[in-house]
Amino acid sequence: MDERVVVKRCLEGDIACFRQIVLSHKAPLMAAALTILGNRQDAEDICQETFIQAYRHLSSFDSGRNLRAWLYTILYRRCLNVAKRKKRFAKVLDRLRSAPGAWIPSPDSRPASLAALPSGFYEALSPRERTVLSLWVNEGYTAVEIAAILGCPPGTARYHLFIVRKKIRVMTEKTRENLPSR
Amino acid sequence: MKTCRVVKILFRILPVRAWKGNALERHINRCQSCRASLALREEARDYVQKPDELIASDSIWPAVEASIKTDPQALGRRAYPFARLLKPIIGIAALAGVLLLIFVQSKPPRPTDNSRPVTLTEDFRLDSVEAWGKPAQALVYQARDSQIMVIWVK
Repeated sequence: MDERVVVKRCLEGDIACFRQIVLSHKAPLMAAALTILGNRQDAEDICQETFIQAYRHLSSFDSGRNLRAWLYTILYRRCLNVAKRKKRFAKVLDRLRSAPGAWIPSPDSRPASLAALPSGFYEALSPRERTVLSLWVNEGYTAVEIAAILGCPPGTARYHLFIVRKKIRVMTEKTRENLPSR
Repeated sequence: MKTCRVVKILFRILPVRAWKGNALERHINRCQSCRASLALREEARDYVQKPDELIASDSIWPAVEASIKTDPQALGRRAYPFARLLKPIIGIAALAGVLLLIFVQSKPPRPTDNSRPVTLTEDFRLDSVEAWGKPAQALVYQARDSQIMVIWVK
């Protein structure tokens, strides 16, 4: 069924049609959220929130736009909020840990399912850069399309894409250099 | 990592990311060595979670459905038709406010009746003063910029 028809039927109150939207977009959104946040639980929560927010704002969706790109816009903003909150929380934790006599276990935010991603990835790339990477690799979006999702000028998206591709190349070369010594 | 000198200069001199991005794009299209220093899409695949390899959680739809069903009026409730215009309207209003403030501040103060200096000879005259039936001596005080007048009788 055409996406516009599905959205129209959702607006008429057809929840089954919205289920169709969720089922067809949840895997790419989940992949992007996982790449950005690096935590499965957070990624699932963000995906749920994204779909709920999309349902609530469906009447404001411009039918001329790509639905998935619109969902990515919501997802990206939510991921960014979570990443900021986590960063602030990590700072507080670090301060507490450095306090004399305090013992706080180090948080293991990387579940086993994410071990496939190369080490140093989350440290090297910012959440925005991870978003750019995910959209560029998984969706094949251009800098202009990425900019529309990120809400920035296309030049800024190009800049981020350049930086990300450069960092990835450096990481790949480092991995290659380390391989024979193992 | 071998990088073209142009890129290094661009990074140093251009202050805005958007300008850098556009300049880089133009440069990379021509520069072979810069293009070679960037990872290809295939190369970057190892660094992202792939949707086809991911077993997406089945708990997403039930949670979404439960949220929608508990609040059936949610659909379109938060859609503000003028939401897109809100930012420009606020911007224009703020600008108008600032301009109005500048206009008001730059205007010279108009002389009012209150600010006009009071001259005793014009508005006030004291012929004679009596205290308890006897003629008394009167002293009149008035500060230079004040309209309050104090009369001391002894």
